[in-house]
Amino acid sequence: MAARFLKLCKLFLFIQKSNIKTAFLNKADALINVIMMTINNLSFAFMWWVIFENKGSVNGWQFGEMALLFAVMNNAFATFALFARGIQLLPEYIDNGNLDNFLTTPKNSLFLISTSESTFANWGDYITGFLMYFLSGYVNWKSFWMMMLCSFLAFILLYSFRLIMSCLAFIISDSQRLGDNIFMALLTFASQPASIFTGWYKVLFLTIIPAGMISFYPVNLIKAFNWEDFLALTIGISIFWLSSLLFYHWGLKHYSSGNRFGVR
Amino acid sequence: MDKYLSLFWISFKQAWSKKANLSGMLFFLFILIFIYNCLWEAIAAESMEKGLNRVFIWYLLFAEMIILSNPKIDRILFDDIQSGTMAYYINKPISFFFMRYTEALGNMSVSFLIMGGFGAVITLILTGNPPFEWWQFPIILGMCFASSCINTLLYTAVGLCGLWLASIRTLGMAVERLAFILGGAIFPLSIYPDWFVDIAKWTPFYSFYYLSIKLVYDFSWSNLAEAFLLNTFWVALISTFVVLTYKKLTKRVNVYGG
Repeated sequence: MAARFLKLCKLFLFIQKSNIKTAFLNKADALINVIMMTINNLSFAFMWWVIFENKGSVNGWQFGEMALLFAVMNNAFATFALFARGIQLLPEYIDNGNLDNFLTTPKNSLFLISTSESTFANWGDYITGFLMYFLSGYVNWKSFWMMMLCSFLAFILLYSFRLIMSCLAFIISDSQRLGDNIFMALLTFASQPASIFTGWYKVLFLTIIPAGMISFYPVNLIKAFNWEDFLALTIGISIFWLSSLLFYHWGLKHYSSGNRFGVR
Repeated sequence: MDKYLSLFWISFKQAWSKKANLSGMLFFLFILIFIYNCLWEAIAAESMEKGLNRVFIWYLLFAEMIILSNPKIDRILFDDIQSGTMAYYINKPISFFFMRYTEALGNMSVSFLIMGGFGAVITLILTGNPPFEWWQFPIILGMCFASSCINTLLYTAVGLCGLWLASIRTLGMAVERLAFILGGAIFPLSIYPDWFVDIAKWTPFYSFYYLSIKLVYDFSWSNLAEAFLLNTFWVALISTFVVLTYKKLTKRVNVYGG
């Protein structure tokens, strides 16, 4: 088991090295893309800064909380886009039969699908993520490590949610954009001040569309750690993670081959 | 002209038949309207400004109709250029550029109309009567549709940048984000500082996003005329860029092949 895990880690590092090498074939283009992504994210943060400057606070949230949210969100999305974006292409692989190529290899098929696509420009998200953390006004070692942990947990949630959406392709054909739109809805939900959702909206925000696990709990935990929020976050994310894996394996059992010949 | 009209209808019908895609788009629009309604309600409650959500959610609806109906023509053109597919089309008795543009317009029209109908009902339920008179509705809708056509043209220009760039994904995203900020596509420019609005005025986003959508809460014939004239100016400028780039592109394909 451990040896198999180590082999996968080695393969993961090899794939990432190749991705970076490919991106640096055209250094100027790669750097321009990273800079553009950073400007992209900062302009979004600026928009919220204007709102908080004008209106003061939104149900108790100020720009500091918003900056923490951006830090977690950007770091989580960067990890997803750089190391596991391939999962977004799963509907395409299922529809055109390319999934067969992944299933016939001796390595873990989900791992291979996940790492089959990477967007170099998303290194810009890490830059913004850390910058926003330092602008938040909650900077200390404890909050830094909590921010790192919450970013990783948020990445697991993004990955699980996207996997569930991608697996819809096992049931509905041509569902690429459907999955993209629902995933975008999650990201949009997650990038709002969590304080605007109250009552039943809050329940929806923490369960069916689990955006609160990216915004509500992480921001609370980074500001002041407490075990209740931490347990709620880890249990919630574990449920999503297990459900996504179960859905993927259920889908594989019902998948009929595209009869397409190819070697990967 | 007939062949382009046919292409428009084929693309319109194709987009109409993709029910899963349309449902996903409507779901996303619903979520956006719902979230920002919660946000503006919270802000209105805190700052004691009643009816804030009614103005800004109708504004948001028209802005999103322009943004979300964009058929990602930039990526299609980029793929055509990078894969060499373009070479198969340029010797046909049809302009490759107009073919792709009319296809994109067909696709965009379906999304625009469906979002308009669905979004108007949702916004009406959530916020009540709109901030404009109903007789102004077709004019505002017409202006926003024209803006959507210009937006598609702008993304055509982004796609043609594939002539120089190895990837246009980030450029496309940057243009989209600039539209959000400089065009006031989420929050109207009226809430931004003056120095920022002065910068935004020099960009095309100010004209075909903000000025067109602003008619929702500030309708006047002078505002309409201003939006129309500035939009015409930017169409001329973007078209010039597209024509020059397309000429360069066809020359390169003719010399080096696809």
